[in-house]
Amino acid sequence: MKNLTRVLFCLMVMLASHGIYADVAGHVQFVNGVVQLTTVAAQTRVLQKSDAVNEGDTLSSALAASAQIKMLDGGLISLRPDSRLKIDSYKFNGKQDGSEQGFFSLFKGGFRAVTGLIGQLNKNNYRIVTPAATIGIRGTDHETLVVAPGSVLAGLAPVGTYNKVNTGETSMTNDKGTISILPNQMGFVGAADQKPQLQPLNPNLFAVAAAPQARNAGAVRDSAVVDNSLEDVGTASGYTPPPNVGYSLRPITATFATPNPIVTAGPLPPIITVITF
Amino acid sequence: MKFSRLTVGLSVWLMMAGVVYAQEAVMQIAVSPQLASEVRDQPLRDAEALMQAGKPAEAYALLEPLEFDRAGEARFDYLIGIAALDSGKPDKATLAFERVLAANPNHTAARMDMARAYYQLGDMVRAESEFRIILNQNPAEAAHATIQKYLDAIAARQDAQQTRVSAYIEGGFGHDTNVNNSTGESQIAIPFYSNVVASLNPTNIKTADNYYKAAAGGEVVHDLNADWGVYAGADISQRGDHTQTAFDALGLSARAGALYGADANRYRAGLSAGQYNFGKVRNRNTAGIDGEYRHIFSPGNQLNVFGQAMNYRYADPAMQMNDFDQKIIGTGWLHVFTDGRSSLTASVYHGTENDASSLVNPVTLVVGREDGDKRFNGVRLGGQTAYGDRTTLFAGAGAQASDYSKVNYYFLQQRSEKQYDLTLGSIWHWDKLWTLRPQLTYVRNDSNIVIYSYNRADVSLTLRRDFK
Repeated sequence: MKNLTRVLFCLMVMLASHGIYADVAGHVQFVNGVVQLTTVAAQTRVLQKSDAVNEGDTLSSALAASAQIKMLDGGLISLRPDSRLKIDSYKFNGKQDGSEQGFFSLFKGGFRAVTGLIGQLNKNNYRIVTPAATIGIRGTDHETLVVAPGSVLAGLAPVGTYNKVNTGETSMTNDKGTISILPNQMGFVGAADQKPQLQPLNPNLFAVAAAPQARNAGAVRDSAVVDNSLEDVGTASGYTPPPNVGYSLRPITATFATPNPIVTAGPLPPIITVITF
Repeated sequence: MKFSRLTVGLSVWLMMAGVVYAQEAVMQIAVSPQLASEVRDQPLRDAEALMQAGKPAEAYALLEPLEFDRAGEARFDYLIGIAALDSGKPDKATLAFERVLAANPNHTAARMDMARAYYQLGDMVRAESEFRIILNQNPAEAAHATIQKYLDAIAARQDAQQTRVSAYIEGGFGHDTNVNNSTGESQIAIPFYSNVVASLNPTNIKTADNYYKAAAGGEVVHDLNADWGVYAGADISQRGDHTQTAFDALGLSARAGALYGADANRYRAGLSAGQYNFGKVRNRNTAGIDGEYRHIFSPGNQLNVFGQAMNYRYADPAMQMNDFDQKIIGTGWLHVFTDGRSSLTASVYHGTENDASSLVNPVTLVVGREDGDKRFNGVRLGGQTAYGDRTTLFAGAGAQASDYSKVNYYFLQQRSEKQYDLTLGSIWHWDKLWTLRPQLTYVRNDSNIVIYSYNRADVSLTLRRDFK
């Protein structure tokens, strides 16, 4: 009887633990301003550096706030200001055996996702759901924005879901169709009943940094090693023949006077011989 | 028993001593925040030193393991950002700059490098947006000039989208101490004739002259998709001597080919052809193929491997026995210094020139070139550095050793040569598209056959207008 009680107690503790402590999805690498975390148990706290972020948590950033979450699979999430993102499901046991999973819901605002091992082999195991479309990936660094009615972003662009790819490729899908988005392209879906389409990138929408308040620029690196990409250095490291490498341009000729070997009578004029080398 | 008491006693003493030492250490740390700060500062100082030494990849490797702990410190974030950018990881760089700018939107240095990183990622829209924000803040003249170069490059890309056209026209004048690349000796001994001395024809003796020159050219590059492209280009150059008009030269060349680039690897392969007139008479035609592979280890370090096969065919029947086929393979390295204002290049190459003529010299009865096939090896070094905002100083030097296969009929030995050349000059950008280029070139060819030895100095001034 005692043993049975112990077993039941342990089971209750395990179940309770599982309910309270969901799988860890990542840890806070950086936080600026007020970013709130709401657990599945509806407990809310202000996010601090090094905090764990779990499956089921919802992150909400204030107007000028942002955060970076280092995910367990090596990926990274960079939450933009005025955003709300939920980690619907996050499972990673260190292996790419098909059990790994990363499902997110973006309700408002945006985030940049640099994907890790989840979704690398099993593409369908990673997705972002937005009100207008679902974003899938094929190994990527991309940014997703949801411009919600009445939000600050709504003053910059029409309401809808935007997806901009930095590297790799993503897809935007809803009932009306699917589009592929390549690096530096931006996909847009206005609503769930509208077809996804490619649009020119809106720099205001995807501006990462707020405009500077200072009138004068501070010190900057006037030049950097990457500036060489502006110049054509292609021929600089290649072979260029030295100037006038000495090709024969015309015959080289010389003349000399051959003295006549047989002297018969009196001096004879020399025979002029022209030699061509 | 005594031993065990002693052991226990010693252990207790050691433990106590250890505790005291540990306490002292704790107190030491507790009372020395400066020391703790210095310890924490050390990796940043080391990374800054590595950046100064032009080793951004090593700086990034040092900082990357600390990123989770130190993210949020502006100095750390900016440092790891520029280390990532300069070592070819612009995506990682933007994540670090995002942190800097989130905390401080007035951090112009981070914004400038963020814009550079966007450019590297091909995100021209955001690169332009960030560059323009800095431009509106009246940056220093040097930074302004750099930003303008980026904006011009972005505009060129946006205008052309898939097709980029560039062209140039230039003209100038100079003085050449040896317009005919000839020996300074007027009389030579000819071993075949028991060293009888002969007088070289005056056109084969070193002659100096002033000259003018003019050139023009253009190139079109068309992107077929993100990885593939094609190119075509042509150049024409004319040089006219003041008095020695027999040595006037006109060169025409054209090239076309394909480009492929993915990630850090670039490939180029193409065809080229040229015509060369000498003294208003067609001298030779060239045609061949060439290719290059380039691997970009980081923005500051690139390796390339190149090769070309070219046929040289003379137009003058008297010269046709000199026809040859040339093949060259080589490899080079480009290093751009951390400040982005200086670069060095080095390359080594090996080549052959094979007889391509079956004509027989009626006097010597030699088939093809008098000296036969040629094998040569060379090394070239070059460098350039920006001086101020408008001037670039450049220098190049080369050395090449050549050996021929046949014993020369007249000189009774196999021709063997060593050639050296040195170029010094500067480019003054007096306008965005106009440049003025003073240049000095010296070439010296030492041959064991006297008629092929010469030296030559050439000083010139060239005005150039680019069209982009």
